[in-house]
Amino acid sequence: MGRERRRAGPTRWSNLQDSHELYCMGQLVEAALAHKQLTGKDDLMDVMWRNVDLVSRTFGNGRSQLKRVPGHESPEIALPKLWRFAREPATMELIRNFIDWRGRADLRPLYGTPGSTVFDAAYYQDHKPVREQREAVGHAVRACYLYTGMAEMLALTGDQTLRPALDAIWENVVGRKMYVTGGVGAHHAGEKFGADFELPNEKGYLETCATLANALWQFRMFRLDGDAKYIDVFERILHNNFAAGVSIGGDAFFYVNPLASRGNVTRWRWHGCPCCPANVVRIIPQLGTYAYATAGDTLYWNLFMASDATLRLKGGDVKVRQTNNGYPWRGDGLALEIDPGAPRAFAVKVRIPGWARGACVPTKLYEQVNPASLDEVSLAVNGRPVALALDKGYVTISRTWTRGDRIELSLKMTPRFVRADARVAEDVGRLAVERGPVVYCAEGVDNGGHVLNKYIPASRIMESRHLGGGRSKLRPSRVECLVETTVTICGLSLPAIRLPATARTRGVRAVAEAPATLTLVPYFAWSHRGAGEMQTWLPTSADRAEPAFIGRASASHCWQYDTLNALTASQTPSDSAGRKCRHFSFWPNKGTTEWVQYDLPAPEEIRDMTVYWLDDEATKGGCRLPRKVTVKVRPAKDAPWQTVEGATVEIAKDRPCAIRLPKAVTAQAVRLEIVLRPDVSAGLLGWSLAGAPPAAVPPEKMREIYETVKTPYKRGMVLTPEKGEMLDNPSVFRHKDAWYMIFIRFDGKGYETHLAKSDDLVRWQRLGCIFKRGEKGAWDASQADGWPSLADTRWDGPNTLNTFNGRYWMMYLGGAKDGYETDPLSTGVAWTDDPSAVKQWTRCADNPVLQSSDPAARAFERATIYKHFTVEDPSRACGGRFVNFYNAADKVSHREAIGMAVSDDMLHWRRVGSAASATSG
Amino acid sequence: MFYFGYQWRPGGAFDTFACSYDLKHWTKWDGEPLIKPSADFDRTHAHKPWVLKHDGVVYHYYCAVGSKGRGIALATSVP
Ligand SMILES: [Zn+2]
Repeated sequence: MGRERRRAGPTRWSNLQDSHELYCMGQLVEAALAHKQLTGKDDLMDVMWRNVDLVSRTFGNGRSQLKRVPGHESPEIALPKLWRFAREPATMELIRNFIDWRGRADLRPLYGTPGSTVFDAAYYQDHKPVREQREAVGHAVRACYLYTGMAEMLALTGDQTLRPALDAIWENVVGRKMYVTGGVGAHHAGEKFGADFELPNEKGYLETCATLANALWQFRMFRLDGDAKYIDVFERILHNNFAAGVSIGGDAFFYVNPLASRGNVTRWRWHGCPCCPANVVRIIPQLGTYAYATAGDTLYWNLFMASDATLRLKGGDVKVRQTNNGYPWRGDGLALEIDPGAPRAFAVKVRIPGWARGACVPTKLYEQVNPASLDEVSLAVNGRPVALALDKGYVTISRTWTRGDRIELSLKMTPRFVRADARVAEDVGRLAVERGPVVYCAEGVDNGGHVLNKYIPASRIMESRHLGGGRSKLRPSRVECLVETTVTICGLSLPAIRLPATARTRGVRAVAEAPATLTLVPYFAWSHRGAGEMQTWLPTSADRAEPAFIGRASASHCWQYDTLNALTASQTPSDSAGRKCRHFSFWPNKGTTEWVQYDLPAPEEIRDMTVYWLDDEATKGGCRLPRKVTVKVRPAKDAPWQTVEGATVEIAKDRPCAIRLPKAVTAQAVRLEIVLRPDVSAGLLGWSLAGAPPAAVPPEKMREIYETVKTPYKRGMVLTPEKGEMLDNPSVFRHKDAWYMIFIRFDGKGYETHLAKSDDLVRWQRLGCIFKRGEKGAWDASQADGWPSLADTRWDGPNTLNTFNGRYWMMYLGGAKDGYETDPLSTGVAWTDDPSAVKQWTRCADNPVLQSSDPAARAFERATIYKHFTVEDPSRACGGRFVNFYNAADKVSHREAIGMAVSDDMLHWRRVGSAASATSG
Repeated sequence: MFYFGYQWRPGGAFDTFACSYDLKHWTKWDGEPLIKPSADFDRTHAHKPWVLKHDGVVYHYYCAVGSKGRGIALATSVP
């Protein structure tokens, strides 16, 4: 609450974009109506009305009123319910305004953070007037709440101008942006809809709230024109993404619902942002209200769930009793008993689900490979068959109904393969398996620990169908390869499916394949038996199955709540604290010498290895980086251990660390002997016997960093050039109580280095020159542009300059020729004892220290060397204590690139690598 | 690492960033630049970043080239 209050801004309504002020008002309306319905009491209703009246007075078209919309939609859904309850004109006015004002730049400033690609106007669906919107964009929960509200407004007001937008957005979601489980919202960053067909499985977001919002919207769409296609989507959501959102025990929740996992996702007991559990709790008691619908003298039988209900038709109330034999596992014996009181004529529309007649979803996004056919559906009234004449997905039975009349529907539950539109890149070459409305997935626990390493070989599920003319087409016709079985989860015996597969395994490098069986369980039931791998879209070729490492892991000790699987899991930790990762640790052992070990089935050649160290200081854990690590190998199974002399082991936080052996060794067992620091334990998040490819920074991490460092507000020039001068290359640091900027100044002849001072980082005052050009005839006689070295660049750190040998250091660019950056330019070093003083820095005798004419110069730097940036790297990962990045140009194109050099004393520099670290494209 | 790019997007030079775990292999940010030419004073170039965070505010100093010539400009994370 405190956080929400801060976010709401200093006064009421002052930060509607980011606060949930109006969202909370919507939730209060829903809570009060539910409370009233359940208890008959008015106490919460009174509170709610005071809030709604305040909002009605505050927001409107009057001159003293605010013209704003909720930063997070929700009143758009709640207020129509309130309107149906009380029919207050002011409520309808609010509904209209909140929907009509969105995206209207002519009426109000639109939401969105300038310069942000995540929190832009589209994030709030505020990029266009709602009637002009054609695609689902932005935050998925916000978006689906808005679309629900638009459908409600259309239903209540008959305003058909909303219809083209609703239809286009629906086509966009169900045809391009919805997962096979009914989930929506592909992006973690911004919890957003992705682009068309962008549906990542492992990295997908699919917030439980978003799928629920999608369900609410689908039902509102159904109410507009009584088409069963919306209920098909609703049912898909219900049995898959929604059902997965809460555990079978009802006490743990998924916030995100990916379709594949490496074992790093489990349900939460509680969530810091607890929207999803509350949303689940809101929907479950309402479920019955979605089973039926009425319009005039027509009764819609939508969902299959045992229930008793009284439904209001035009001609009077009708009682119904629905029974089944265990839907969705059994599709036979679905029955609806009708009791109209006295015999009466009306229509009952029976929904024949899309999945039972060959349509996985009402678009072409997902298709049954071996489609179901209407031949497998039977419908009867009082035992007499009814013809399956479909209209909008329903069979209409119009007759005079008498008490005891019974409709019986039978649907065949056959496991089926499903494939995705070829434009869904993540699902290419993969199949999903469904049975009835239920999507299946493979979990490690049923499949020898690994599922990501398995594929369904086409030869075992496909047969070639000859089309004539020498052409043939592969199609899976052998549905019999999908064998029904059961798996018990949380005491429930659930229908499972078994199918033939091929498992891929590897040692260090050698890959082996072997026949295997994949056992699939209902997707919603996954993650009830510990953390493990999971896969929904099963690959049909070897190249999409990652071989599982078959080395046997062992250790001197493993804490009972950790697992050796953490070593082999090939997890991608985002940091050494290992949030969302499996851990391996020696806890509670402290200061001891421990080991981890891999045994291979046969000797293999090993050279570079990769390890990810656990250090959970950030989460107040007891593990830190170890003190020392020794590599030992055993050439054959029972051979004695040999220490690998000259092996180097990186010990660093928050990144994969390399273990390098001086030369390749053949080993059947490898051991890391790990010396723990005194008083702390140690652990690992992964250990691979193969060298790591250069680690790319994952997009989510890049996005997170962008959001941290972005500066959308330009403040103008803080040092403006006088006539005839140019100022460049700012470096800012703190010294004692003030801020200083070292920059360079061009005066028509060449550059010199200057100093400015500030107390507040915004207003700057020039102090004067601190590094003049060299003596006449010197190599740096016309240029002397310096940059302070060894700045403490830790983010949000002290921003001071560090010293080496008690001195402050500068690398500078010197040149003898007059003019603006005239080649050739070389590098010198200078120092001072007080970087805040307006006095000349001292040149070092060894200058210049790097020249483009050096014999070691690489092609990209032969013309000139420009700007420098020097840091200290205690890990010496690049081969020296100090690392200097510099840009340089080549002789041919003068194209610039970044080079790297290292030094141990700031005076003698060695170039690293033969090529540039980064080049322009 | 903050750096500036030139001639690989339309418009003048701009500031962006790249990240690395090992200081050797770098991943470029491919989203919106941190600073790009947009005002009169940085119309031609907005480049050569120095970025720091202090008291919860991010300060991004850069060399601006535009209507006032070549000078030092500032952008911040808050208005
Ligand atoms: Zn949620």
